[in-house]
Amino acid sequence: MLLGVLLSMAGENENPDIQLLRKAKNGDRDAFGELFRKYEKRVFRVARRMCGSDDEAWDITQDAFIRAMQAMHRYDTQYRFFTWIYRITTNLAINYAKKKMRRREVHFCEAYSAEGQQAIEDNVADRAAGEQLLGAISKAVDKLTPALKAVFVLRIDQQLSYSEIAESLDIAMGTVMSRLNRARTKIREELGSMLGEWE
Amino acid sequence: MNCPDFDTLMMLLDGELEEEKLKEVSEHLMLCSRCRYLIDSQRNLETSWRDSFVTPEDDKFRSMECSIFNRINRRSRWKIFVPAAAAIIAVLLGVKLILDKPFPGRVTELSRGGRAEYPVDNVQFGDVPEESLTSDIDGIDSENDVSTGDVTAEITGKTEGYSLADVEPAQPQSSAGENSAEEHEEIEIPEEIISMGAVEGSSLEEQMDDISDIITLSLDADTTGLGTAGTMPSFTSTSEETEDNRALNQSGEYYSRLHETSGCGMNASGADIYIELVFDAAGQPDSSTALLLDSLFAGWSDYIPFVYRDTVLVVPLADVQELFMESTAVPAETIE
Repeated sequence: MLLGVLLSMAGENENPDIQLLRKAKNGDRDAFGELFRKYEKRVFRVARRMCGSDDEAWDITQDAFIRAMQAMHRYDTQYRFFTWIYRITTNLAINYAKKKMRRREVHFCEAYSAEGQQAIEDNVADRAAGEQLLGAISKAVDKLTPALKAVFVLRIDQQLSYSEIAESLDIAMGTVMSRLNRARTKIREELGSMLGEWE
Repeated sequence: MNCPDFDTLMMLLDGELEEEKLKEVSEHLMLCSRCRYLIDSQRNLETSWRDSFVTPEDDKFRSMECSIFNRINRRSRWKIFVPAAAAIIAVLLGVKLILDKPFPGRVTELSRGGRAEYPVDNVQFGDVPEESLTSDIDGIDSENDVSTGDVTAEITGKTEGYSLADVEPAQPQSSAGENSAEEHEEIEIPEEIISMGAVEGSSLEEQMDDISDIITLSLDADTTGLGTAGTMPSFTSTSEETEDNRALNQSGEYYSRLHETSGCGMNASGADIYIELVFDAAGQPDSSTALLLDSLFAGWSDYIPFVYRDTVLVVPLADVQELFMESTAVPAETIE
């Protein structure tokens, strides 16, 4: 027990982020600015990758930092701060996506599927057109379920290791690997023959 | 060597393969163009996607930084302010309750069923036939008599009793102090009198319910004081400046103020001060009566005359304590 407390205190002392977080929580404007600037772009980027628009990404980014402040007492200092803020961000994005899917459940799949398929087919005609291919990839990524997308984004966009992804999403390493492979497989299936030349 | 599965190739791509496995797969890739292309295509796909991201301008982040910081601080301030405000409001409400407590606006007792809620201001004594002041008021024949129930009353010593059944039901519009002396039958009441009204019989209750929830009684020991009917009469102090009377006057002034603000029962006329004591079906004084008794003498609750159920007593102020102390000896009107 005592050892755990000491380890926790040691971890806290070694973790400058948690000190910044605490100062920010107590109204230290500079501390908050330093912490925010350190993670703002990464958080926004994860949010933007996870959701469909810039506006949603801004909302999620803002909520993620506010929640981090409010839930500071739940932060386990043995983990790295960025995994914690990523977890908050991905959870927010997943919840946001679920709400959005419920709202558009009826029309979303058909429209999106047709649109995505058309985009991919269109791109087949000009495989060299990077933008079009990128569009198809983005659409394929967007079609992933939130759980698969979170793993894919953290791995590919944020280039986190499997263990960091597991820590961020609070899931097992095996789950990370299986989700990542399922995501990749689905994307390749979506792109279909567009990848033929690469193969 | 067979081609490694897709998962293994992706682990190689991600740099997550163990040393031994990495060496094995790497040797395979040297020989297998298909696996090499698979890895290359996946790498290109992912790199293209990753590099395609356009980070917003820094101004937007700075704007958001200010917005978030202000929002967090605002919430923190509210966390302090709201409990403080709640505490202040609670204290103010508590003070108000304490100040308001001695002045209940209405009395709800009198009827056994608890139905006869009436403002004390409208309760008057009067319109009592002379016959009702006899020792036996059974068979009272009055035009205004609304009761057919059995009524019993006794006069012993200085106690006079009559039933509410003998009382003319009031018209609400005429109970606001507009009654003239001519509207009331003048009666003579002994100088020291305790008038006691009681409701007896369920039939009376029903009739009373039918006519009105407002019961108007009037009583004046001084027949010239009937002008106070309709509203509780204002307090008139005793004329003689004896020590007892000064104390009495002070009490009376208190009751007068009390009555003006809360409608607590009190009657006064001429040189005497009368107060109304209202007892509920359980024989307990109502809240206004209890308040009066609190002011009169301590320990009154030890002498509660439980026999006074559903009863209104009008007693001289000076005799209240004596009445209570000797309550067991005072015959009273009862319902059952």
